Amino acid sequence: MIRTAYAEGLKLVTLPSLRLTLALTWAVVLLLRLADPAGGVVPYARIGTLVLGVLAAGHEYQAGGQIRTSLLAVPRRPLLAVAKIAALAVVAAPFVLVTALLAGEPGATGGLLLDLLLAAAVGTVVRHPVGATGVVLTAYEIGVPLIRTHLPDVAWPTSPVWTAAAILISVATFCRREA
Amino acid sequence: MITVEGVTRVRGRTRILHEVGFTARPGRVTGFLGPNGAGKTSTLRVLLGLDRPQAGRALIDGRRYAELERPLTVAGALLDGSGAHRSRTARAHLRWVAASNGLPKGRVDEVLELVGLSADAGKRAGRYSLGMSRRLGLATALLGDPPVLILDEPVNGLDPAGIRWMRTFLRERADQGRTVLLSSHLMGELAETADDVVIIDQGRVVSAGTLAEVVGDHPTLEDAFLARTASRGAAW
Repeated sequence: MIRTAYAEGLKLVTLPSLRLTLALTWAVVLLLRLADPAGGVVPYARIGTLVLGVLAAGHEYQAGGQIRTSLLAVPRRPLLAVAKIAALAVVAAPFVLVTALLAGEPGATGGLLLDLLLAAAVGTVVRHPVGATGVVLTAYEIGVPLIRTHLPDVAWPTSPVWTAAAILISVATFCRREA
Repeated sequence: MITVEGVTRVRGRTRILHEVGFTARPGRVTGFLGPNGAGKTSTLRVLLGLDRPQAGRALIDGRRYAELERPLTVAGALLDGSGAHRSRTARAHLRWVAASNGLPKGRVDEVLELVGLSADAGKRAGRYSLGMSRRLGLATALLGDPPVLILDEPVNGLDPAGIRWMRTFLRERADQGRTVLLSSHLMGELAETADDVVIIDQGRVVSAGTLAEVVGDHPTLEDAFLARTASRGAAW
């Protein structure tokens, strides 16, 4: 398990697109702090964390066929699925913490990390980074605000519940399908 | 030793493999021959645990690939493409694969040397030529120094020098006592490389044996192949 999670961590830290997303997110957050938007900076920081989550999971399915290498190296799919989530949580936690600090709301760290893991689950199910990014950004930036406005009194499940559900669905999908 | 027994696989309503069975023995190069769409890749994917068969089993040294704890030390596989993300360097790619199976970091440089990629190890996989991509895939397959090698169309798209290199390389592995199973639709190429031949057509094994046995009275392997598959009519 530790071996598999370590390998997944190596995969994440050597992927150029993740470093780029990270740098862009921090740059945007710092710039927006100067503008001081009404709803705070966290909603914008969330875009970066969502993209990061999608890319971390979805890059396996981009050109080159890396997913097959992953499954040949670790054919036990439940093990690989859990190792992926653990590695992403560990690698992403410091990034999310710094992002929340830069945004001036360190309390947002946990929420952002849950959003990132949910985005990764979507990336695993959709298997197409651009499509998955579209799905999560539409859901978070349009879907959720719309629902909150029109149905303010409904008690929706909290963020951890959504993330847990998304992870369960993604693990089940990953273990069952042919790659 | 590779043992495939009665593997049947259905995708949708199509039966793509019908009770496929054969063995590939150590110390020999076994050629898995068939026209495009005959079921070569499907069989190898079942063998490697990527797809599940509806019936039958495919074993490597008596065990299913999907049950292996450190599979890269038991069998190495080369499938279509390099198997590396295009923006990662070859060295970074091999490092994570090595780590996943608890292989020492030093092994990465050894396999890069073995396939002749040492000078280009810092390049991103997406910048590799087709021949270099195949070499990177082969380096990945060799990381765990496995006794079994499984290669799907390893010479596809290679230039004559590349084909010669691959052929010599696989011959050497078999001479070391390893099991080498390679698929191909190029009969001339396979006749040069293989000790044993398995012919598959429309999801069924139609002939298997040593190269001499399969060729039989026919002048060439190609003639033998066409004679065994001709009854089904020309696919094109």
